[in-house]
Amino acid sequence: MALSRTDFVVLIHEHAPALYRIAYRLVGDPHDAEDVVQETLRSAWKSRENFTSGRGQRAWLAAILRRRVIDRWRRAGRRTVLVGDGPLEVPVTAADPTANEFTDEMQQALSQLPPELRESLLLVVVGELTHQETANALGVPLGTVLSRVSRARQRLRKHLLEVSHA
Amino acid sequence: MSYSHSKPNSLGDAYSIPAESSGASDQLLPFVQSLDTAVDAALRSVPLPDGMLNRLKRMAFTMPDETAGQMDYLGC
Repeated sequence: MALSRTDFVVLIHEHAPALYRIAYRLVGDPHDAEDVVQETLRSAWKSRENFTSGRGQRAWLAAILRRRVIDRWRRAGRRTVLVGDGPLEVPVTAADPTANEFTDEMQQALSQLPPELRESLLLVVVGELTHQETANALGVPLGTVLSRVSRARQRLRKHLLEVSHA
Repeated sequence: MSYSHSKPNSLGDAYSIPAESSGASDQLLPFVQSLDTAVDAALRSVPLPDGMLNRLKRMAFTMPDETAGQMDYLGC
């Protein structure tokens, strides 16, 4: 059954904070992150007839959000290719402390992770999806997600220890 | 009954875990878990922009009713 508008507002209240945090961790900028969340919710609203209530709302929204972030990367990537700046690279940068009020060490650490480890970890830890939901959202086997999350944690632990000893 | 960890080690004794190593890893486990907890907390500690939820809820009331029939499950 399709979501009513009232259901959708409840859904926003329950899931938008987590969606924003995932988006922020992926794009590294608070304004872009909020834009991504808005785009995600618009897409979700338009495709609400395809949503089946048996599947987790958070997983559904997170999968849409991931698509919207990839769209942004592709658009940014096209510009990069056009100006001949080299291969595509996912632009996860630390927030500019002069432009934004929030930045932290963890964003820098995330930028060191390969994209596939980063998004798996973020969906599990920040999105609080199950490993199976994450596997479904990414279209990879469960074991792959387990392995990616484990490797991502290992690298972030190492980073945290290095920072604490610096 | 056979458990995987009780099967003979085909790589030989060089790859068996010494008792003291196993003990050391047991001692490391709480440390690793506390680091993971710290990493998780740090990853989630992203402040929300002021008024974001209200802006999103207002947006929800302005979105058109129609659905996009050709869109897939992920709104593409």
